[in-house]
Amino acid sequence: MKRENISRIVLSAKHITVSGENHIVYDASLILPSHTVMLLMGMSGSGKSLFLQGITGFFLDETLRLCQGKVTVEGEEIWQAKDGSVRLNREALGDKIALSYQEAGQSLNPRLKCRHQLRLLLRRFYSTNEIPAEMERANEFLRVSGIEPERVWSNYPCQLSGGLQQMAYLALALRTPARVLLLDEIFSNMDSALLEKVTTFLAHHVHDTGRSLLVVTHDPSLISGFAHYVAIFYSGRIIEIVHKKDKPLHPFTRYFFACFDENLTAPIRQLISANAPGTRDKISSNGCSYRHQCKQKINKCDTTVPPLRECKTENGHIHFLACFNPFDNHEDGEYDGSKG
Amino acid sequence: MLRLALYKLLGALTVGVLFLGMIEFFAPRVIDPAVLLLAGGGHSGYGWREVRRELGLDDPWYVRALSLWRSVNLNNKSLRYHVPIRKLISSRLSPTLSILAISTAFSLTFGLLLGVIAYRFRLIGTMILFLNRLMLTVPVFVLASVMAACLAGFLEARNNIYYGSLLLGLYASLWFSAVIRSSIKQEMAAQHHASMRALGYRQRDITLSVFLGMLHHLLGALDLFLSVLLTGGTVVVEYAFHIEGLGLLLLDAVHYMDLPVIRFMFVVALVLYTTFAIGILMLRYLLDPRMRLEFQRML
Repeated sequence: MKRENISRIVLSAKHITVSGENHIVYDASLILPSHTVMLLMGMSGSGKSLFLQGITGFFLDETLRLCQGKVTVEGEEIWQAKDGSVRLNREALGDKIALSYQEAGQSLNPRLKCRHQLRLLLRRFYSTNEIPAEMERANEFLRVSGIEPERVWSNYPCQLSGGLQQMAYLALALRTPARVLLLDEIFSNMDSALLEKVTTFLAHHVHDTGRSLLVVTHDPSLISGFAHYVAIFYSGRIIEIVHKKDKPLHPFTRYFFACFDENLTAPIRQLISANAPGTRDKISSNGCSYRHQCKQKINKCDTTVPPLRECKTENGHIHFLACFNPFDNHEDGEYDGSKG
Repeated sequence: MLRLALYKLLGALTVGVLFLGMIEFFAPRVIDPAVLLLAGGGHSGYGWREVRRELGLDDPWYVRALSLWRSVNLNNKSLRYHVPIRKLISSRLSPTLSILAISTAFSLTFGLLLGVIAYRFRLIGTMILFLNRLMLTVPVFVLASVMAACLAGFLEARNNIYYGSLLLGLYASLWFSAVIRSSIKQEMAAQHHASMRALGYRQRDITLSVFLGMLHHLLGALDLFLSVLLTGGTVVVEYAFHIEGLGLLLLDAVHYMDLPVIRFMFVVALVLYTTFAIGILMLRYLLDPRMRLEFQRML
């Protein structure tokens, strides 16, 4: 998606800091244009799911707190942390922004049939006359994905397989009128055939409705076909937002993408795994968290946290980067294990 | 659902017959009820053998265990009081029912209130948990006796149903509030409720769902609550406050090996508890589809 085609920024999350026993997400920011699918990728345990929950303003773990930040969707405030307290706009949940958690089996209400759950959700957003049409849209989504709707709706969640639970959960999320859908590993239990159908449907859905999706995933196959942008999360922060066709500039992003490269030779793969950064490097508030593994490190990286800044791109895509000494756009910075 | 009820009823009957068998087997070996009866002068003109035959003591213990009908015969005479059980029960039923009713009503309302407050305010919650643990470490009997003794000093607590009931209600409500607090906490933290919020469900739908989940937790604890805490507590309260109720009657019966009364009380308690437990199970079965499906798979 080129910059001139971007109608507007729908989601703006600024300086989100989540604290528990220590800072788990630190000063993480993100913007999401309309009509866009953005993947949120990073290593396990880096804080992606917490960041997603932080965007909605509340957490599954009650001990976690939002320390600072502000989130708006289409200019309407979702929450803002000020002077130690959080002002949460509950009405916006579902209406402007909706989140589906990991593990659909635990996220669907175990005491209600899926049809009943869909009905209750529709009653919140639509008038009685509109509900049958919305239910038909939910059925359509399942049919397009090759699933008989009755098989999902007439059962309790515990009677469904993991894949069908995810489909039911996704169908519910899609029926909210939210402009931004946050999907946390929603495809993890789907087989490749189902995944293909679902992502194709979602791509059309995004195009037709103008909604935006922010999807946490570990599946690199989604980058080429499904996504427009990839946001890379490292140790509690977003370090780069890059279009799938652009070259990443952050050293970690290059390392991370190199891990997915099928053309890598076996010795280089071994080098990559030997040099893998810690999955939960201590979040640093006075220096770049990646500096201990970084081959591009400069002195400033030890003392200052690099802010997420917009980079100029030749093709008009948006590109944000948090690095003091990134690779040059034309530099071949593929991981070869010989530097540093 | 009917199959589940039958299944549970069969289980309760088996347990009941086994326990009754144990009573029939061991009780006459401790002291011969026929001797006790003759010593009390209740059956003048009868010999030892006739009395044993009348009480069914000559039958094998397993035959006696299976003759449940004989146990619930209200015309059987108490060996200690030499009057039909019917008369004994009718004269002592009222105080026991009063204690049960007052303490149940008090503990359910006060416990619910206290549980919600404990959930909202962490400090109160911690205090209730501490008191609850403390209560569990002190035997109920000791606590009731100490309270009765303390109250007797300035409140004329002896034979007073209300003080005993309120004490039992207070004791039960502390336990009940801890259950309420933990069930609200568990349901509020459940991922499916967070998910309902994150998808924008109406607040009243979420509240109703939390309430139903809480009810399910409570029902799971209620049979223990009513059978052990309140029924057992009634016996202790009657003893500590010297209230002439069924609890005291049962204690006397055990003390004097009054076999017909023990048999009767056991069978009645078994029937009441089984009915109550099956009722609770049916409600839980209706509320939670996972339980239904699990049971269907089990069968």
